[in-house]
Amino acid sequence: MNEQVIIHILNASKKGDSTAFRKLVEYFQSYVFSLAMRFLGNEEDAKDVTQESFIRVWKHLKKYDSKSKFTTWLYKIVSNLCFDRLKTNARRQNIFSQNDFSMMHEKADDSNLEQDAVNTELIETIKNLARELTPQQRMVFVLNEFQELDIKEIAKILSISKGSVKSNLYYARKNIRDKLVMIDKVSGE
Amino acid sequence: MKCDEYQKLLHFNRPGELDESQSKMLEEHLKVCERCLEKQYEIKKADAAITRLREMKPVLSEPAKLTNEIMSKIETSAQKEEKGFNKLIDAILDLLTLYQVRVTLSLITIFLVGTFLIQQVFVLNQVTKLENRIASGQAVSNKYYALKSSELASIFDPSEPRSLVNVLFKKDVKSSNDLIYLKKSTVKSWIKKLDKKENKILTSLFGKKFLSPEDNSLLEALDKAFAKKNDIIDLYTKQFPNWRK
Repeated sequence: MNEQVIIHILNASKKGDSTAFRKLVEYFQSYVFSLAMRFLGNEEDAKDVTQESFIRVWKHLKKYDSKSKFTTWLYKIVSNLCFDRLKTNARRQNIFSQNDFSMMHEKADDSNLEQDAVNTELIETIKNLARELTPQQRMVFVLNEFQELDIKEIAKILSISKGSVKSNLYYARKNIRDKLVMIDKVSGE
Repeated sequence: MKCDEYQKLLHFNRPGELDESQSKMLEEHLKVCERCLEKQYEIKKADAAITRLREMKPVLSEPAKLTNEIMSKIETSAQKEEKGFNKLIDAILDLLTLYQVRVTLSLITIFLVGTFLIQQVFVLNQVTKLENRIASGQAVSNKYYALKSSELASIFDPSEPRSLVNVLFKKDVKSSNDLIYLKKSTVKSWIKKLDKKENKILTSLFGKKFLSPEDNSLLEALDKAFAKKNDIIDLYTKQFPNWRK
């Protein structure tokens, strides 16, 4: 979907055309879910964040400045909601002393086995690799390595400097690459 | 540059992440440093694992269901907003149907409008007074009739033998020459009796202060008063209609 089509849909949506907005949701929901899932490592949370993101987009359509890229604005909303969700989960974890990843895992087992296998492997890997990263380092890494966004765009999404993106990216890459090298060495032995 | 720094640069291995000079320096260094070359190899190997992870796209089960849920929530929230607004309007209209509310609102409106009008009238009155005061202030310096009635009374009171009118007009004095029959001492005592306030008033009447009976300009000033005699008498008659009796 090119930027012109997006703007056309957004203009129609601004006038209250929910059919047009549905097209936007259909097209972008997998991207949003993907980012949320890779960051949060929890399918239910990722779905909630996806829902909430589009509701926010709808509610704040009039605030959207068409001079900037729609995906930048969308990812900004998604990343903020992801950070919020992470905080909420951390509080919940403190209260119940339970691991959200295992809770999600049990739930996912009931549905499609093939999908679950992919999601489970991904969740476990992300969980292990990103354990020592700060939320910002993890978000920068996910946006760069998985969503394939460049440093400049990540800086816009997270409202931080390019230098800050670079430093977060360096620590995240180093940490994860070192772990992967270690895993490789251990499995090689 | 040390190996640690080169190894830091190795982590920025995506296109455009290093500038030309950094890339060139790193390239040259890797030709001569086995340790860093080994590190680069490790990074490349790790990146292969990351690429595999990238290709493992999270699977969204039942995307249509999620779309419907999103759209349903959007429509519900839009309805809620609409309902909320209508509810507010209804509540205001309901409130207005109450007799007590209508009377209270009317009274508040009347009070506010009344206060506003009174204030306007008050301001207008004050302005008029001010204008009059300015006008009278100008008049006092030139014209005797601008004096207040109480001040006039102190000069023209017929019960006062030293009253100006009693001295000058009741005795049918028509000009300063007619004052000749008055003894100089009489005039002198009359002037002496004038207090400061009266002197001040006379100044406004005749344009000069009566400092003493020997004042050379006395007769001249009195002549001016005689010129205004009829006006003074008219004014005086208004204050004391029966003074001639």
